Amino acid sequence: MKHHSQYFWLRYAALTWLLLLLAAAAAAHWMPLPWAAGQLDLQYIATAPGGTHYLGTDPYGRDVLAELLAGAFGILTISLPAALLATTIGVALGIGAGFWGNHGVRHQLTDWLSLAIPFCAWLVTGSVVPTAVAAAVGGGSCWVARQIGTQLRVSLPLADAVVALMLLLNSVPRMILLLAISSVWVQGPLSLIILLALTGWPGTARIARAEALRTVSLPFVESARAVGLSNWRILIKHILLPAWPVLRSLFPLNLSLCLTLQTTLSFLGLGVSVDTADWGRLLASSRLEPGAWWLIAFPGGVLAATILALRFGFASPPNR
Amino acid sequence: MGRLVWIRLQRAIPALWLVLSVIFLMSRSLPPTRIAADESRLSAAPAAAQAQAETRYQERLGLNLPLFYLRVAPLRWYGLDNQYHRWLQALVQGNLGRSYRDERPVTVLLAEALRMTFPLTALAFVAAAVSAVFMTLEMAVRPVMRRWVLLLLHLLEALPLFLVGTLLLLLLANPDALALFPAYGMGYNNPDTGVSLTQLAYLFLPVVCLVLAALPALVIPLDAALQQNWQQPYLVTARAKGLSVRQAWWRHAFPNALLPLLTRLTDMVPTLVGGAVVVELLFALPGAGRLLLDAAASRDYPVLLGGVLLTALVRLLAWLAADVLYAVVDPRLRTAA
Repeated sequence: MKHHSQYFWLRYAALTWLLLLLAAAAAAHWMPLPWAAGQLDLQYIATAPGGTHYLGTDPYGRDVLAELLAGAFGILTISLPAALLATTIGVALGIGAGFWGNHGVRHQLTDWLSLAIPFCAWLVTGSVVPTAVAAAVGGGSCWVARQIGTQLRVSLPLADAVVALMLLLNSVPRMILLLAISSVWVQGPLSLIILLALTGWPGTARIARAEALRTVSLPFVESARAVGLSNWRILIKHILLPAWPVLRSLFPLNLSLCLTLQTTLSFLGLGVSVDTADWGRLLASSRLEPGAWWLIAFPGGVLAATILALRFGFASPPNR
Repeated sequence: MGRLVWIRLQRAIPALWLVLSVIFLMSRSLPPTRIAADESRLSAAPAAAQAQAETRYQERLGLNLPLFYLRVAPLRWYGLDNQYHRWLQALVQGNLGRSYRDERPVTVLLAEALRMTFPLTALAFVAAAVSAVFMTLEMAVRPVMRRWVLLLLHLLEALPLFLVGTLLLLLLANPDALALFPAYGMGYNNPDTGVSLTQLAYLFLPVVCLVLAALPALVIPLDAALQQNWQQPYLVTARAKGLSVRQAWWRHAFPNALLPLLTRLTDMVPTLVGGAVVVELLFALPGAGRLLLDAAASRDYPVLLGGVLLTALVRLLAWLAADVLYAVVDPRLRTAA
């Protein structure tokens, strides 16, 4: 009993912290602070916390409190959408791969062709008119072939494709992949969001696929099929819904991973840009001023509290 | 076993090729950087001379060629003489190109950096593996300690590596707190001899940092497997016939827990290489991670691609090693494979 109440208290604290952080991040731009983020105060360079700067300043004279708030805003606008996107992609691909497998998505060859012909026309010519002509001619002839009675069904190897993609992303450690691609390609927040999401979905997809594979062979799915429910209805009501508690708990985990990677990137000096406020960058600036404990304690504490709250605030109680 | 290795290679090598190709094409499809703009010697020259210098520069790096075999929308075929084909040809021959920054061959740069990174990661790997085994044993013997250690490990697993490293630096290599270890660099580093014994003190904190990052992923599953095994009849029998916890663990439980541990260990190798990026920056060590980071920061793509290739090869080798070790450790897998 004691164990349970202890756990409840922890969860309560974690949720409170995250809500506070969310509010602070959302209000970061309107808070009546004496110093704005990024504003250099050259009279107080690397000063300890005190009356002028409540949490001290970094070696460039930026106010730590303002930087922390701006960093929270950066996490709200980059890590949060990236984690949402990664979880969505992972759930969609994983559930789809588990439910349909390699033979679930079967369509007439003519259907595939009527899509492929205009696409090829676009690839070759690159303009609208030939594409439209090809769509009309190809679609028409496919329709005619169908009417004559061409029966050839071709299936899309969805599961194999998803597994191959996961293997592809797995062949290089995520940190190295992020490092390489961010130097080549990242120019703004949006590209970082896309990059974090596109490299972050395989973990979620693996679990979603396992859940779908487990559920799809259970009797209630079979009876749903026997009753004659449509594929989509079975997928949503009988596969996704039972797996939902598991999948939902992956989102905070993904968010904490994205947060870790975002701050690590800016700690390494890559990230969105060198001028963007970030907790990782604040921690990195402590290397210029080895005695400045406030440059480690405040951003480090905030970062650790957030990650721990995300990791353990939503976890189900351990059944020991 | 040979078949298993073959299957692994069949899957991993195309993946490797695809990842490298994507990064290569992305890096080359950026708008070309202007060299003339910031060189004062050139900016004084007339526009025609500047353009000529630009063309010569692009020709020297092969950037004037078409990027790929073809382009789509509209389709156009460029033939075999393109940047991608040349790069791939050189790559297959083991030539990774030259650094954009100092014109030195990438293979030489990587070899030099590995002389730093290899001792670091190898030490960390061995230390993590050995301490994980002994730690799990101690946790099995002392249940009270186990609870606290597990809590600590879960905390450690959640925290980013750079935070852990920064904290270590703040606490153990700080003139204001405890100045037990040197913080930066490698002392007087002779590049010809690699890491010598006197420099071990410089490696201590980086290795501890990497070990702390790797331990949770090793100890938590090993401990869970052990707790599960502890209820199994064979261990109950072992305890009933009078073996101590330690004896039962070493003789009976450990061999059974070895298989999952091997998976974790081989999974850890690339993590160590990745973690080396952060650690080498933190402790100012001139290793492969640092090289990769500098290449990324200065857009030195040949070096960057070489670094990615290196880490991917390390991961592939770790997988292959796991496959072989599995068959060595577990006789049941030999017939199956």
